[in-house]
Amino acid sequence: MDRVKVAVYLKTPDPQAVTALNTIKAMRLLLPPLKLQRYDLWEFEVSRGGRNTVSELVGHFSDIVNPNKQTWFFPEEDSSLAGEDTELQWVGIAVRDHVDSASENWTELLKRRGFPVESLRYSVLWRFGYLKDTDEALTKKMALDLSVSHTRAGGLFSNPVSQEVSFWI
Amino acid sequence: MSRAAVIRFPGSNCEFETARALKNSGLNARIYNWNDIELLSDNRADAYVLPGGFSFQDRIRAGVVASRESIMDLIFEEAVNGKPILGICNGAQVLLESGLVPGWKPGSVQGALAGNLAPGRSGYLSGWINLKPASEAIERCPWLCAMSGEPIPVPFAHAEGRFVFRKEDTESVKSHIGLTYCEVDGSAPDGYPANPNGSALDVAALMNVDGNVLAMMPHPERSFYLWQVPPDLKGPWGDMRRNSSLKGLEDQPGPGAIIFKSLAKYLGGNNG
Repeated sequence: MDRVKVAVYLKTPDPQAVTALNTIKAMRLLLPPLKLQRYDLWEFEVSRGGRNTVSELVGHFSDIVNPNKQTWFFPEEDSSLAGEDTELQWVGIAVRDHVDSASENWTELLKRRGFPVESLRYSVLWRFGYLKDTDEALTKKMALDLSVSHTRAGGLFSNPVSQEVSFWI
Repeated sequence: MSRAAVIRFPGSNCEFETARALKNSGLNARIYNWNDIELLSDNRADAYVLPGGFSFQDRIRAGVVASRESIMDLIFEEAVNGKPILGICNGAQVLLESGLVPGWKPGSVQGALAGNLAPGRSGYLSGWINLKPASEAIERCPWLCAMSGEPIPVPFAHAEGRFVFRKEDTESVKSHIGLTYCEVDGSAPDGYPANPNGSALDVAALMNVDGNVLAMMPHPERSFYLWQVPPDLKGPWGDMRRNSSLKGLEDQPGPGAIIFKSLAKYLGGNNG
């Protein structure tokens, strides 16, 4: 059984990331992220074929990757993700729903269509770009604080009642 | 005449029919943009409605960006002062993301409207469902005080409408239930489709601690008139629609009117 991850992003600036960064600016944080990237993160568990199987299905379903507006890659290959400014220090937070019917329905659909997929899990990956010389532990703490909406004035990217977050790369 | 303010965010799309429902219930309704803060601050209303739509294109998460806007500080203040506040669909999402509902600790996010959970389906779902008020809610909530307890059919249309609470809050949340999904005869639903999104405790609308703020996922403004009821709908409202003559149909109240009539009744006095 292989676990294969795919990251998908827009070829143009992501409006969700632009809105999020503007909302963060309005929060007047002491050390806000300078840049923000958003990726769809798909994690497939495939019984055979590994990356070849995943490449085939990604090419097959424009709901996963719409080649007119999106591009994709296997994120393990890179130390920083595609499209990111290497002059910044990046920290990633993946947000996923506790109960995710979309992933369950996708798994069923792919099985019915004959793809050797045992399961898949969809998350949104937010990558926060901080100043290069910022302490790494501090950037992780700031990214985490910014990611969980415990209060209206606090984090932004996940509702802790229905979603979970994890550090990514 | 009592005044109601409908707050329009970028991406709201139900503000006109919501304002019309309020006006036709005898209230003086006006639409304010999300950045009309000074104007609204100087002309406080007696009640506020956050209408349905896709505020800020549902970016990040439905309702979360709107919940951070400065106008929500004013709504927050008015809610704490006991003014009636109604969030419909996307407005309900804004209220939950603002921490106004359930509001045990106002400002803390203690509930969520998560993605629909329906067998073999995901994403956006729409249709007509039946709603029943909790008896305590009729006594406490200005948006439900004219309801008789009989079920009403109302349209719903959302992708993220499943009320979710922490396990430890399940008991406490029961006293906040405003409306639940039900079968056409008012009995508890046996899952989908009567409960269309897998909502915990079959909740369709949730109140805050004081009962003056109501977060409601279905759209009462879309069933304000009887002509909006589909003729093939099961139950007494469907019968009424089928038996109605075309003449005068445009003025006959529909099942959703009771939400706005409740507010008019609550505010009382010069709403004639």
